[in-house]
Amino acid sequence: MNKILVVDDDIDILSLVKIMLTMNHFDVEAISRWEEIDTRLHDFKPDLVLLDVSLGDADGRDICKQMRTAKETSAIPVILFSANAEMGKYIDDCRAQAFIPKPFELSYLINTIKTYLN
Amino acid sequence: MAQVSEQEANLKAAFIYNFTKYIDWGNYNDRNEFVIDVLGDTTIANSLEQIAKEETINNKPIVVHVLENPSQAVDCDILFISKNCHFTLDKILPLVGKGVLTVSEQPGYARQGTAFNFIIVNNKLKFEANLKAISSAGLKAGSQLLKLARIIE
Amino acid sequence: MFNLRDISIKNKLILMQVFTSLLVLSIVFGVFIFTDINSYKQRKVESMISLAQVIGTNSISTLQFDDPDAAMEMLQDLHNVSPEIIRATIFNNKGEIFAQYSKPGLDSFRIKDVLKQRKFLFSGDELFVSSAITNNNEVIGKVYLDVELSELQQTKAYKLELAAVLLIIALLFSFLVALGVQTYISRRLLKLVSTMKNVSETGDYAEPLGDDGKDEIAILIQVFNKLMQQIKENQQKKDEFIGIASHELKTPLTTIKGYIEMLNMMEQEPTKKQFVEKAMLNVNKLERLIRDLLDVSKIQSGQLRLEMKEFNMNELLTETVNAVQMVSAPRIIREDKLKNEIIYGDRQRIEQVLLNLLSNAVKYSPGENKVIIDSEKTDKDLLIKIRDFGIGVTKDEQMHIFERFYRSKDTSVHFSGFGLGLYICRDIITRHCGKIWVEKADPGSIFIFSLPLKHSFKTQQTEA
Repeated sequence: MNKILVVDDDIDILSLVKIMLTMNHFDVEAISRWEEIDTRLHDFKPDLVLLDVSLGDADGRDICKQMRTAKETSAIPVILFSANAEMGKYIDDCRAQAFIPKPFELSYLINTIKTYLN
Repeated sequence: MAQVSEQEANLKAAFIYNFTKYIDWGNYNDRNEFVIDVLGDTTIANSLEQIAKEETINNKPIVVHVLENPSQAVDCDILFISKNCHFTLDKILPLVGKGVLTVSEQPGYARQGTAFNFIIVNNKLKFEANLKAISSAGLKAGSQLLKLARIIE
Repeated sequence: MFNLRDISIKNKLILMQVFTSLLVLSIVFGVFIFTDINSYKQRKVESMISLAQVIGTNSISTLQFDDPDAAMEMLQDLHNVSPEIIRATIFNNKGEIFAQYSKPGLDSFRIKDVLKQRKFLFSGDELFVSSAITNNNEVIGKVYLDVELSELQQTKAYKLELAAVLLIIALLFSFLVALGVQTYISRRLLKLVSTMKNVSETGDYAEPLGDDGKDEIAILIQVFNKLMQQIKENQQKKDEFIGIASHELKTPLTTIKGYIEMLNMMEQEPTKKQFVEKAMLNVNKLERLIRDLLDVSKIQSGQLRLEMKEFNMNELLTETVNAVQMVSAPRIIREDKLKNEIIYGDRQRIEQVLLNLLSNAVKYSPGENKVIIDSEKTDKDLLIKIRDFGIGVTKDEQMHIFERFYRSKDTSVHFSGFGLGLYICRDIITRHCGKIWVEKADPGSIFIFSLPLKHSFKTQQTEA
């Protein structure tokens, strides 16, 4: 079963996505505090990270960039998501795999994740 | 000789009076009166008397004498030699001293030596002027007058 | 009739200066010429009277000795010396003519009555002067001179001509100077006007106008700049607000949509499922509205960016028709002849246009009616036509439906929405250098948009 790490500062969205992904047979860990990302990546070792861009005082894009520099995390596919559709333009810049605008269709979410799971 | 008409006399008297306005006697007449001696004609003397009543010459009253004899003409300013005068000019002129203006009324007299001589030209009364005679008499005549005269040299 | 108020400021200023010059110069010249001529006349009178007096004095003796000929000679000499004296007459104190001279060819002296009281008289082209001949305070006669004034006339004419020429030259000069000088005022004003016009036409509240003056025009410019600045700031604030608002709206919407979607999948009981489906429909509507609002705001502040790539129009159309067909009753029939036409553009945005037009067509074709898609190709453009069989769009409305917030006035058909969809479509199509319009069909309407084909697009520019 594939492991997905979901990071979003909105609790409701977090639980929604967790339910959606679990319903679709993914192993999900969902965190709202970005400080925990490093430990989660290390402990949980997800196959894909679903990363919100606006994380309060942090920016998902920067976190993605950081992941790309670290050897252990550089290969993990990252999908950014945001209510701001403009953020989609930055995926190449921070070397994320894809971008999902909010709100999204469930099917779109699942398909995109499946596509980018290596 | 024919008497001069009164009209003509008046005119000549007026002319004589007007002459005086243009003649400069210089130092020669320091008398208190202006004396006109008329030789031979009472008509013109009368005319001159008329003028004398109203006018003065050089601010002096005019005195008119009628003379019979040129030797009486002493101390006058003007000597008028009338037509009716019995004496010829050569008898008269030597007796006339300086400061006397001689006026005559016979043709040719100016050439003979009078200062002014009345003539009739085209029925108009005109006069001749003898410059030499004037200056010999020690007098000066104004150009305004001379320009109206027929000049005799 | 030409209205003074309507001529350009530049011309007003020039006209003003030239007119003022004209007025002032005319007055000045007029006064000068007038005083000049008057003093000439004065001098003439004085000199002629003097002359008459001299003549008078010189003719005293002629009067005294009644010698008119001598007097005549004098008068004749007078004419030789002063040829302008065309007649001269000496009267004796009885009022009879004593001596007289008239220039040959003229009739003899005519004494004017007026002259008996005055010493001189200007009459027509002639000047008459008189002078009494006195001797010892007694008036013995009078001299009258008749002087012709042709010299005066000549001088007058000459001066007037000169004045006219000078006036014209001065006006010309004044005009040229005004032409140059008026720019001091008008240039800044005209620049302000053209900037304002530009701003109002393009809606581009760009750079502030530079100006370092202190006068009223400078104030005008400063206030204008301030206003522009305010508008710019307002716009920015508005855009920020819309950006933030739509972001904030989308976040809880994500949750709502997500749960409703899952509920929709889970719920099988018909009534409940119906309820959920209704909710779902409206969540989607809400999502579209928020997205449109955001788009409009971006369009307005010029922030809508297109990602231009090549894509297959036929593919896109197929996808889109399928998506719309899935949720609509009317049948969407493809009668187009698209094969593999390649369009250079923002696929997502064109998709947006197609979705918009198709969903409109479906909305406005009530019941089981159909929607027909057609295409047309020129050597430059590709046209897509979407035909519905609804109530159609009236001629009047055809002009307005692409405007922001425009909603059909026909209240028999009640449809919700902000009225932004077509506005956004038009902006997108225009950015692609295409055209979008609507035609009346019988019944219904045909919405048509054109896009340049790939090869012809390369020759045109588009703003990113």
